[in-house]
Amino acid sequence: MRWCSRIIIFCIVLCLLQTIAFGRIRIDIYGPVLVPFPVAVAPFTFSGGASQGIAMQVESILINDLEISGFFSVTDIKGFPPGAMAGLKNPKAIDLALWSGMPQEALVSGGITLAGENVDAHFRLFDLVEQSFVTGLRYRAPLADLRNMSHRMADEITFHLTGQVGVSHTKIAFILNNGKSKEVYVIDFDGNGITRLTNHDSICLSPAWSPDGKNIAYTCFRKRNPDLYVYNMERKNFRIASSRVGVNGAPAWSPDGTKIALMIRDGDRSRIAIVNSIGAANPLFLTSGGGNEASPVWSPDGQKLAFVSDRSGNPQIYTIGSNGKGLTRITFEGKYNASPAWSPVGDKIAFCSMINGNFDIFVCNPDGRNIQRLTQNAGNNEDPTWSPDGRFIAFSSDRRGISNIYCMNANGANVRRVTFSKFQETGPAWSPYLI
Amino acid sequence: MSLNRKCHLRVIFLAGLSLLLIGGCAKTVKQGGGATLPPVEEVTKKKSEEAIEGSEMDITDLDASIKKKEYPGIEGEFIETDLLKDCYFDFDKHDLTPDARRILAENAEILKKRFPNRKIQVEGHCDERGTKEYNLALGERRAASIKNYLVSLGIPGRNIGTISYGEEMPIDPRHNEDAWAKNRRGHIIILSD
Repeated sequence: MRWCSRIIIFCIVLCLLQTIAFGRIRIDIYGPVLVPFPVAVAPFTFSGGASQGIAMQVESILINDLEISGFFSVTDIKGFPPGAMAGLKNPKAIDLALWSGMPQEALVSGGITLAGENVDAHFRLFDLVEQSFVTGLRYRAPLADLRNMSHRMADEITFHLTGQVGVSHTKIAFILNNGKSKEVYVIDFDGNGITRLTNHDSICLSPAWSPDGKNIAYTCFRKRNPDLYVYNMERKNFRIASSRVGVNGAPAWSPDGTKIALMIRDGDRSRIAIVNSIGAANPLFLTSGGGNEASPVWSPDGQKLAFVSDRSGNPQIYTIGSNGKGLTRITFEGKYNASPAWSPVGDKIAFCSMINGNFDIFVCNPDGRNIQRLTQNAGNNEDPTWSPDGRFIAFSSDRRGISNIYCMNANGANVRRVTFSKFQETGPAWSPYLI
Repeated sequence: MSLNRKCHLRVIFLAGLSLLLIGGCAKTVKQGGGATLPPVEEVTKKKSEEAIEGSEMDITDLDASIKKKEYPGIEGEFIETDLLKDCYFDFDKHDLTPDARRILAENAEILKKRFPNRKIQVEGHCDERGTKEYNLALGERRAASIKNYLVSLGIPGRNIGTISYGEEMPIDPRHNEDAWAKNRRGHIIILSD
């Protein structure tokens, strides 16, 4: 797997005066109703040996990213006057007055050239209401990084129009059960670029990203014990980080990356403990015992954890300070609430709850108030995980018979299938923003 | 221990021979790992249900029921015998039902008579309902419940290891109450020396 260290970025400057337009936000993403912002994307040009196919590929990845972000409605440039098109060939002389008067409020143009082994891709973003140039960037990277480059363009455009970095260039890790083994895979946010990471030919569980996006911790049974493994993305290898007898399960990295919360055997039960992320130090058990514990997750400020405990007689969600103080039960309805996921924004905890034998996804405030149901009447929906901007929740669902990974808005709208293999896919974990 | 191993080898050889002679009619295939991870290796197998039903145990049948086995994807060979029966749990429960206690009492007798001082591993398994992570924890407690009961029946605790497989190794891959009831189980294997 290649990460984007090989992508070189240059800033395109068209006019010094345009610094005024930079950073001006066009969409109120916190409004009560998000009306998609109309954006026109002109066909990407190609030259210097680049094929039209490559240009169209970049353009279509970009358009799809903008569409599924939910922020934008994307159209092509049909309808704009022919005189306006001419300006695309020489963006420095583009006459934005010719582009006004249409419903689209922003225009994206771009192009591809080949530079030796590398692809050179650029885009320019114009504000059609203000008739100004907003920003432009040029990327150079190996052809294999074309998809990553396109995602980064989308995120840049999203940032300039919304004030918030997009999540197109993020990935989702999950477990794929091919009938013979259960391995860790990753896939791009848009459902492309599925990549197998582990080859243990064994049972893997519970992938969890390190905050820098360079490591994925998971549990694997290959040594006849559920041990904690850490896979390194750059070196493409793994190490065993915790192999205490009994469960070393459900890892969760602290936001500063120095610690991992983990299920560890303590006597007859599983309890939540904190180990350092090297795996060496003695585990620090978080609670004073009582009940079987599972699935720890950290609050984004690292001050608290949420986890599952059955100390009340059945699994319910609790929060506790990372210093072991302030144990609080936050779910009371139903007899099976599990799989907490703390929003990276900090204001919500998603979880799954069994109702009439099926699991569905809910969110509540970190104190348990304001419960909202996000899924219903669609099989079992489990394992919620938040996008790093807190706008989306990915989850596993068997609504089509076998379990696949899906994504929805944080309010439950716009359910989109992410994985399309014929195998069982479970345990999604959304990456942080990737460099 | 080396005597034991020799004995096993002879048993396996004899059982294999008898399979050849019988023409395979005694062979039954058990799907140990369900659809997820079917067992790859079953050296021999012979039904010996009658032996455990009867009060007098037939040593020959006992030996023939022993088989070496591996779980695919999990290191290490172990020994399994049909004489050690699985016990079953209620949904989301780890306490032993009266049936489970009866089965474990029989298992304890077999362990004492046939496998004294052998290391065993108790596996806690769950059905597919619920989260994989909570089921991993639940399997821990189920295995611990079994271990504690076996200790109370006189099996030395130092010889009993436990492991939770959560919901990862269903014995019945179907998605219904019948399958779930079979999959919520405790299973005992005898570790190789």
